[in-house]
Amino acid sequence: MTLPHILIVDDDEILASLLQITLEVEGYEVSTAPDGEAALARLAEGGIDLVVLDLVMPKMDGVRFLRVLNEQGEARPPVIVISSTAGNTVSDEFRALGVVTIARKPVEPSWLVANIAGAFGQGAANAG
Amino acid sequence: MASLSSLAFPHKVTASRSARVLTRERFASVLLPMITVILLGILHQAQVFRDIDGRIFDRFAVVGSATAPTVVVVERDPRFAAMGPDRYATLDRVLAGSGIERIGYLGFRDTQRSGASIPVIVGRSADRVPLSGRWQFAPALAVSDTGALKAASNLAPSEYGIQRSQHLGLPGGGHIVPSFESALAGVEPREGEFLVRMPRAQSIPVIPASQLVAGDLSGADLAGTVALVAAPAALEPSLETPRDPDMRAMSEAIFRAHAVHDLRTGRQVVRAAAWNSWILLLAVGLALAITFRRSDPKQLILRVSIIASVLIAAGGWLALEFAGRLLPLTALLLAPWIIAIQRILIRERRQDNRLEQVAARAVQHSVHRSALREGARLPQFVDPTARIAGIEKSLLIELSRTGELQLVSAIDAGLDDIAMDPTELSKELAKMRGRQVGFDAAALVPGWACEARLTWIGGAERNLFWLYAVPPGGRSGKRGQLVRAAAASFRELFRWRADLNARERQEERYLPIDEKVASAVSLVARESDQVRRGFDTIDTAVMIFHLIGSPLHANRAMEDLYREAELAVNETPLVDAIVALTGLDIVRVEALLQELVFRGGEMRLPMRQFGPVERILRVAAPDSMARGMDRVIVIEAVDITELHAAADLRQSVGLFIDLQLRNDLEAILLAADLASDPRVGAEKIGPIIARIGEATRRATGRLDEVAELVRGENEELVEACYPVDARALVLQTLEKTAGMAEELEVGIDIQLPAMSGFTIAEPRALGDMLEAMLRVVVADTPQGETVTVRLEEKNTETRVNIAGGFGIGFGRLVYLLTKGEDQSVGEYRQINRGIARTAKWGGSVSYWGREANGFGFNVKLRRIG
Repeated sequence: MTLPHILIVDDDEILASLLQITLEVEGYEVSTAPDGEAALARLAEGGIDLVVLDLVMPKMDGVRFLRVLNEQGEARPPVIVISSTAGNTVSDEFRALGVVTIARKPVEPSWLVANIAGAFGQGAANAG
Repeated sequence: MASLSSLAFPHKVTASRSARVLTRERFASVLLPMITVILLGILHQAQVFRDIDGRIFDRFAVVGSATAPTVVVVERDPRFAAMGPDRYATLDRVLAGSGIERIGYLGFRDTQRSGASIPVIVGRSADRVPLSGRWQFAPALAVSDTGALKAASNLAPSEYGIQRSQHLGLPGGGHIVPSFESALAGVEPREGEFLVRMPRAQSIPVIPASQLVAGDLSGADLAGTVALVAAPAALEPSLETPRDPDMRAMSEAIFRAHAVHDLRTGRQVVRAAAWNSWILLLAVGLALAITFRRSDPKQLILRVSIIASVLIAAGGWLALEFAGRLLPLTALLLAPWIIAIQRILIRERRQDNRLEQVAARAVQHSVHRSALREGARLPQFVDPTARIAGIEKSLLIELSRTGELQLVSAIDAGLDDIAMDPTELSKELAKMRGRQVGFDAAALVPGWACEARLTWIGGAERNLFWLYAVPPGGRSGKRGQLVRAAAASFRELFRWRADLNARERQEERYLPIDEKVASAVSLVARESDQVRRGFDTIDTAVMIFHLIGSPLHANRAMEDLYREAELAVNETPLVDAIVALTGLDIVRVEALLQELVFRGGEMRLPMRQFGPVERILRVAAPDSMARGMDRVIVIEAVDITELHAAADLRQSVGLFIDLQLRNDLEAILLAADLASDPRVGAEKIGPIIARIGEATRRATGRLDEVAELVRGENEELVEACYPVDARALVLQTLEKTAGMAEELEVGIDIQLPAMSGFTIAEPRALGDMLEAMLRVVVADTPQGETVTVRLEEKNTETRVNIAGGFGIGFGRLVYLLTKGEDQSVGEYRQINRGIARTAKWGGSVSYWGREANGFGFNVKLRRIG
């Protein structure tokens, strides 16, 4: 059975590496990208089941990444936004761009794990 | 500002004194004119003006139209004299037969009885009874034996040679003896004289008696006339009259004929009676007093006096023409001029007194404030000045009136340093007194290694000389200038003091007031100018208003602010100025000011923004003003840009810390959770703990960085830099220039990230620079074309690119942007300033340009998260 593959998009290298370990411990396969452009490139390779996204990043910020991803029109993975600038509710605009959950840093690891599991469940339900 | 104008409280004592002065002035303004006219009346009664009045009458007497002659002069010509003894009787009969009403023989008539049935008058000279005022006829002539009426033929005395009057009758023998003219005219005799009018157009016929007797003039129409028979001698020109003054052109007979004609036609003129003259003079005096009291005599003297003179002259003419009265015209005409001059002199005197008091007060006020009002304190000022100027050696010497030299103060020097005999030195110094320039004094103090200068700094009271040495070096020129300026100031202060003391000793009592005032004004103006210049150096815009709201003075910064607000500095009342500067409504402003004026203190009002600077308006009315003392209101536009910058800094730093620490806390939280998770292998614990350490150090580092950024003082805020939101700044810039772009029909292509990190800059300085760049490019862009504004954020840098326009040559652009902040103008000046500041924030600005290819600016800044 193939493990679910999560892409962490964050320019904070320390945080990204710790998120990666946390999610690997939970049994996911994890990749990281430092900005929106790199994340799009990784997504183009395929195999990504969920994206954990920061909003404030150089080169291509999170919002622009979501728009470009949306414009590509292909099947897009669900996105969980974790950012210092974010609120705690998903706006209609974000929902339209594929965001399933949003949280303001810092978040409890257990909350993150639960929401990722929830996102996969929602995805499975959507698929079913 | 009507509501404020009523708030000036007059001082009771001053009001009372003013009332007394006013009452005295009112009393004087009526009394003095009346005294003046009384004096004029006395002079008139003393006949001081008789000749002038007579000459005025002369002007009237010779003008006017002629009337039909009522008198004919009959000349007793030689042929008549040669006729027989009954020639007079024959003449009488002939004259009576021709309708003559009366016959007057002037001076001679034989003893024949009259042959006529009409009255015959014989004029005989009467003698004045000495010391009696009465007249007496010679006994032989007292009773006419011919039956003719007797009459006094005396001519009234001439007035300064001019024969212009004649007797009506002469008192004598208990009754009035008619004058020859009265008798011939047939008027009731009465004592007194009358003035004879003799219009140039009036003719008096002269007929030889021989022709009448011979019947040669039988056709002549003499009916209703009277005949004045005169000897040929009486027809010789012998009198100076108003008609031909300064020449004896009129005969006695013709003069008398005019007199008789006047009496017969009722056109004789008599001088106004004394009581009439008094009433007239007093009335005119009262009218003038009222007129001048209600007006400023200095301004109206000419107008009022001319009008009064014309009215008096017209009245005089009317009285003469229609009432036969000669008014006291000289006295009446003099009255308005004398009263006006008198009023002016009184007013001038009062003004002089006031001016002198004000001038003295102004000078005292100025000089008493001077630190050098006591000459003994001079060293306290000279020595520190010398030290500030970097002078190594200084000698302050006083030359007494007796020629002795005294050392007042010294720095590292003494009188022994002077290589000149004291007596000779005294003479040389005495020559320098009053000189405004310094002299090379190297020969005077050869022991001094430096350049030596000698300058006089004394005044009228103290004769002081300052000998100083300026050390060689690059700053000696500036030091010399400073010392010269200080010396000039000392001289001025001493001169003021001397001037004041001279006033106190009243040495200048007899100086003309204009010189005193000019001197005082000069002193006060000089001090006022110095105060004004000092006022102008204040960066804060300040303006002083009088309590009634009229502007008193604004410093240069406030003048600039008024210019930006399009207000007139000298004309805008306080309320209007505050309304324009704050945007508050006038009712609210008036209410605030009323509260302020009554209670004193100060208040702060929000100000509209003029230019890039943000201000609040401080309006202050000193407490003493509320008691009616210092009637001024001060407004001050306080620059709060720095306060806002500080607030922005606090906000930006807070946001930065919040966002950045959230990342670090998230990392620590994750790492701690992993470290306690049994599923994590031991080999991963080490790196996780290391990550905790990294996150903690990073958080500490960020706090230190922020602390360093915010540690700067307020005045350094413009140069300070801290994390700011570059996206928000660019959006603000676009908002500010949107109007201009729309007006020029230029489009702006905006390329911004949806989210922005932290860029290191000072937001106002960066915003000003970006706005200036965008304005330059938009202004250069042809109508319908587009300007591009792009913001890019990379790992450690933020880039703002503004491009477009027609473009200018690169060389020209470089020239405009490297002229230096002081030389460049407008937007280029702002860009210049921004480029310099960007470098201080660790960023850089590049630019390019080419004609027809447009030009652009690239701003590169540090980005920290």
